[in-house]
Amino acid sequence: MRSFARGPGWIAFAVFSTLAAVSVWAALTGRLGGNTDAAPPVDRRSAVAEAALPDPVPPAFVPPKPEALSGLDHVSFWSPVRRSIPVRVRANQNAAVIARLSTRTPEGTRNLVLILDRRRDARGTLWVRARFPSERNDAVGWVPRAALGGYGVVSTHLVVDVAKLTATLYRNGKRIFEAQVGVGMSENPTPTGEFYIRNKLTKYANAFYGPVAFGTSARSPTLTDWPAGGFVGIHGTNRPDLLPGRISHGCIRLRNTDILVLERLMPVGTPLTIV
Amino acid sequence: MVDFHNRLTLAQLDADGALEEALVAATGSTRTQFLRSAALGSAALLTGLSDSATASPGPRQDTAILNYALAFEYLQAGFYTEAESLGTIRAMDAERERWARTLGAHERAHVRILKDVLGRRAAARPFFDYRGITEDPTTFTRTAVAMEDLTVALLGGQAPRVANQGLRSAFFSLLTVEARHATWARRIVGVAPVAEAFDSPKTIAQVDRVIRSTRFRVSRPKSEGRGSPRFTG
Amino acid sequence: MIEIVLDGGSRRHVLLGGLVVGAALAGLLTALGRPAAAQAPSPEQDERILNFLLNLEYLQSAFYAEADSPGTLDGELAAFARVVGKHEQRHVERLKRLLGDGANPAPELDLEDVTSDEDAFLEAAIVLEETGASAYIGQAPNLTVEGVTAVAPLVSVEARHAAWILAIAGRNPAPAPADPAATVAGVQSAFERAGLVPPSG
Repeated sequence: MRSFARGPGWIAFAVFSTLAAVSVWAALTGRLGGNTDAAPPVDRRSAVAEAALPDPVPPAFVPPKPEALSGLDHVSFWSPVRRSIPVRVRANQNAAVIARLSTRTPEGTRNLVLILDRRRDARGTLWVRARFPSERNDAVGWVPRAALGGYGVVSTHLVVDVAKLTATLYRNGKRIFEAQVGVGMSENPTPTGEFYIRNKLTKYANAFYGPVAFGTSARSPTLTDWPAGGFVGIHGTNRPDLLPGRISHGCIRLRNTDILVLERLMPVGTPLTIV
Repeated sequence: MVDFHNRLTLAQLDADGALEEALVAATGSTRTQFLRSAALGSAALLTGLSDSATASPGPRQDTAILNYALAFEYLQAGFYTEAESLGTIRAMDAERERWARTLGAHERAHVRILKDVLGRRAAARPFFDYRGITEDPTTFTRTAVAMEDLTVALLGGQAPRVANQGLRSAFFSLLTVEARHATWARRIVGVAPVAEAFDSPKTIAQVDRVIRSTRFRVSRPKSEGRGSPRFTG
Repeated sequence: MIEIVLDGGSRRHVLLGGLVVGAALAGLLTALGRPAAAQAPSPEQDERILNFLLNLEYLQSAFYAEADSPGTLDGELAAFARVVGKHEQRHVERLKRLLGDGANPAPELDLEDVTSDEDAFLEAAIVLEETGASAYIGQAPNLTVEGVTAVAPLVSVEARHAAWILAIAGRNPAPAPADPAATVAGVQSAFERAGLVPPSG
């Protein structure tokens, strides 16, 4: 296979200068320096242009260096659910149903899933392996690609450590934020496992949740009858004195200043690992 | 040995029909409904972009042209970037992988160029759904080829309408690169690299109709709500 | 000053024909006088610009016609010369039609050396097509609306030709995210160096 070899001719055509204030006439006659009073006859056979032409107008930009993609090890994809659809255990129309995806969350936002893999079935239909909201901590299954919407990309990852009582945000693998948290008490623990940030609530007036609340795909294993499904949230608090501690019904609580920083740094769709 | 008698059509390239449907629409078929909103932005984006004789050249029209070109570059850059990020390009042979990576880097550079030139007047990046086309090497490649030719038709049609000389120079610098992209792509898939002596320009309306038929541009999903949280607490 | 872009997008200043121009040479060149500044577009200037572009197309057309003699080229190179030669001939015809009585006559050219074997042909074709595209880019903003609308369909095709021959040569068909413009002087020197026109003077 040929590599992109550069020969001398390659450079020659690629580069032209305007520093050289070369008049067209002088170029044609090839005279460098000296007096230009005497005008030898123009050789028509070498003439590219006989009369003076204006110089090119410089383009209205500075060409940027093309950049390769980087950080692909740390990107994660999410997708909105376009239509209500069963989640199956395999990429196959006849495989067992393990859950049903709705298009909306209880908060009225668009339901999202995390994209993990893809495969075509025997008929050529594209299926996607997705992580979906569930009380189980390994909730993955297959849905047809056509049931999902456009892919959002994030390079962030939130890790909540229920033993150390910390929340750490990584971007492109680098730690960019850390805060102390409150997590679920032993009767109503915060579930551990792989989840994701599903939505964000703002502009509500409820000091219990602080200024911002993130909805996650994690559901409480104990509060299964909770209104609106018992989803675990990540939010502020009007009881910062309780942090850090095991004090909630499963939610992950941050001090209000911390949740506001997190809001700036963490987009919806960010994967969430609770250890 | 490349078959140089094989004329390229979008239909040949696009097995799953998205762009074939678009081509039919662009040639005036009644099959496609003319939707109110533009394919690559708000209806406002199309305002002032009429290719009619009543269009008035000048800075306002230049901005509109640039913003439409930017919207198109967002579409292309997103397309290549998604295919590469998902690993689709890595699965292709070395020559195609190099082609796709190079073009992706160029399209991202084009987005930066146009955003820089437009400054505060730059349109925001729309949300795209590439509908699985970026997730399969074959559909990706075929659609890329068609989109590159469409970009040439767009920029070739608009570059002469740009009034400011520096901006016009910029447009021609980008037009030739898209033409290289298209030719490189065609040779890779094994069709005539350069089929015609003259490239046919398309109007913005024609280009927009093609893009609308792909349904690539979609509205941003709503992921922020206002109601009081009902999490477990 | 035009920012020059090479492969990979790195910028180089003051490159004339691939050589970094030393201070002495730059000084000599500067002594020749100021460049013609960008003039406002006019039909009269269009004619001069189009004749410049016609000269390039004449050169390209004659080059491919010369190379078309049987036995010189093989395989895809032969197909390239045949297809592109047809295109360039049609470009000549269109520019002549646009210029009417004001069209330059076709020059006499000696292209035997550059079409004698495949390697020479390849290198010369690369220079021809790349320079052609850059020349069009350079002059497109100087044309009137009518003029630039007429030549736009040719510009992208020149770039297509360039990409094709680079691909045949195993080189990067799209070396930069934006292509450079050429001055008339730059075109002249590139052609001289490639042996496409005899050195002037």
